[in-house]
Amino acid sequence: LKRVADHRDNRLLAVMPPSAFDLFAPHLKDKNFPQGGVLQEAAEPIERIYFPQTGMISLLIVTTDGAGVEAATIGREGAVGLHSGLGKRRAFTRAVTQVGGQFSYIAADRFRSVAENSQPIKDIIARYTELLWAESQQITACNAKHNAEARLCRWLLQTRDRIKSDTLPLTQEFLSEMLGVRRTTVTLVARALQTAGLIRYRRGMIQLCNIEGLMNAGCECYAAINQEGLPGRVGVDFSEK
Amino acid sequence: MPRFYFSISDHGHLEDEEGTELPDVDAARRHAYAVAREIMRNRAGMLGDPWSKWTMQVKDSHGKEVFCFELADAGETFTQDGLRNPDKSVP
Repeated sequence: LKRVADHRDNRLLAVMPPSAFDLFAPHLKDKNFPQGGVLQEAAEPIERIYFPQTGMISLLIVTTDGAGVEAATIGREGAVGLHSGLGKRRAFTRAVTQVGGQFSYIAADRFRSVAENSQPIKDIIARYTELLWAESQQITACNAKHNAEARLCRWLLQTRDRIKSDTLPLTQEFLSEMLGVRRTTVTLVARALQTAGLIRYRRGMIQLCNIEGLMNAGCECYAAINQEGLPGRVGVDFSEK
Repeated sequence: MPRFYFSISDHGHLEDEEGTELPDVDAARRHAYAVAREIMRNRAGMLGDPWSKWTMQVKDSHGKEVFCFELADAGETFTQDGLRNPDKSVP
């Protein structure tokens, strides 16, 4: 039995007016992407746009020592490379599949040729870019001002929203990369959260046990950028014509 | 390469069960101070913060203590005036 692609499980694809969606839907494909795959490399032309239906993509800034640090994460609420719908663009970050899942994708030039003639699509690109900009400003402040424990809580809650699950398939190596701290630091801080009953940690898997407790232990940044609140906070309305 | 275990304790105890492979004791010391600073970073002014009373204990793979220090001595300031303590503990 052939699976029917659920492109509209992705929020951005879901808010596209049908008249606009139908213009590029024939070129939209989807498949399962495994954890760890590199979807785009910094400085390379953006060839494809990815819209996760499930799973999560991390955008990483790779510093000259070869280490990557999280710049943003993208789940079903967003897309990677969407702005290339406005014109040929190069990737600023490396994009890696952090939680494997089903992603819709389309060739960037196909999407561009449709977006060029569609004001609704251009509007959605602009609004989504505003959300990413707001989120990245908050994360810049968070990384500069908040301690490792608070940032880990923020990160776990954010990932929970992205993948809509309380069980996060994340290794400590990965968390250490995301937070820009040593793995031992992640081990000890995660252990403290576990002792407090907020999470349960198994090898490569984190179970969130007390969401409210994590919100209290975390900084204000999660509340500032969570997906339910952010569009309203910056006045972005995807349903607006 | 030898494996070192970095645990911290106060009234509670947070065990590092996995450990980290490092070339020698000097490297373990640098790693330990770096981890302590990462844990203490941005806890400025939090005098009531229980973490500042913690000690880090570093053990080898036989469970023998290699060295031990207070997190607060790891060289990062926790004062709000922006002044840095001299980084005296780092070799």
